[in-house]
Amino acid sequence: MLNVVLGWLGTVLISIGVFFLFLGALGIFRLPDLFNRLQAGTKATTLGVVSTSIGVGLLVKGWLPFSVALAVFLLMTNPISSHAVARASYRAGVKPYHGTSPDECAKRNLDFSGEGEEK
Amino acid sequence: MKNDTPKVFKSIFALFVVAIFMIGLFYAFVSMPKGWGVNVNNRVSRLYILKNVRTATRLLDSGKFFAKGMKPLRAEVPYKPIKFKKTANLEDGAANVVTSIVVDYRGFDTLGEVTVLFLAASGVMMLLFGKRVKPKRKKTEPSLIMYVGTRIAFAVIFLFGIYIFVHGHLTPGGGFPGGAVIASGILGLFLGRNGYTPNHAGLKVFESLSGIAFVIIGLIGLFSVKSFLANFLPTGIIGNLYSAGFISLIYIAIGMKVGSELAAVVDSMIGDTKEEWS
Repeated sequence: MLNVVLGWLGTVLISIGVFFLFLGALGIFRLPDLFNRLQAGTKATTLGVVSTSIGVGLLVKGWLPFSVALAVFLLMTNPISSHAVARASYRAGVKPYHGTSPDECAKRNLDFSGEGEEK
Repeated sequence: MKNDTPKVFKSIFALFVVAIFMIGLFYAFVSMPKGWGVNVNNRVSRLYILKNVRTATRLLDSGKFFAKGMKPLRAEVPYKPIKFKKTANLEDGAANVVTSIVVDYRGFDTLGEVTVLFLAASGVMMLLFGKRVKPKRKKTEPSLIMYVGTRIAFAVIFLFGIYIFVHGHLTPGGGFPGGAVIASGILGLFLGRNGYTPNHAGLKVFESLSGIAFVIIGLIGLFSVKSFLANFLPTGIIGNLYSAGFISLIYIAIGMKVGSELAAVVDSMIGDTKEEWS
């Protein structure tokens, strides 16, 4: 009984994960500029990979600790890496898409020429 | 050599070293067996040409390939199924077959690979060697998220690298990927902090000690089992952590060596240097 429930739960989780991975890939194709694509490529795929790995951990006996550890590590590092990429590209002069109406980062007194520190 | 030795002596010494190497190479080349002097049948098993295990086994069992009076060895060795965490005293008790090939059966080749990696790393460091200068362009400070995140991630990555090379004889992985994982964690530290430098002396000592440990393990095998890099420890039960003899020892040495080497390469590539010829 428990095995059946766990199996269905795992299958549902894997389906959700695959759906979000698909959304991430679609976003990378369709969205206009780097920051939006980064959003699609990291936020959607974080949820996708985490729920896929936990689903696999529920399906296969004995893999749950590994998949939970993997999920925790992904939840920890994926936002950091996307933050680093977005910040570096903004500093390097990549302009956001013109539809991004309030560019909050430009309002701050930041020196993006790479010559100085943040004020 | 001290710095105040005259240049002539230095040149003579260099010539002497080169001459020794040349003579050694010449001797090795001359003493190699010629192509026509080798009987291929002595070197390659005749069963190899069959390329078919079933045919080769049948021929072996029928005793066609043995001299008179010899019985096929397979008939005397009973078939024994290998069970995980049960079977003991195998020839090489590594659960990971790739590791058992790489470290045990052709360990000398792995020593060569480590040497190649060492030469490549020292070449990179020699090319990028120079006086460290302060860069003209100010680097922007990494954000707080990166600073904290890389520090936490470094601990996890370091632990995972150690896990990979300690469990090299049980699960896929081993010394080389484990060392690369550790070096990538150190690269994360570089990204997260401005002006981070690892302890150079520590890296050098680590690298040399682990390289020496590899050779010493091989020499212990030479003196105790009469063959260089031979397994001198008990193989234990397959699948346990303490099994497969010296494979985990060698992989710990390789992992430490590769990790410190790649970290030193990353350090020399990131640091700002100025060329200075004396």
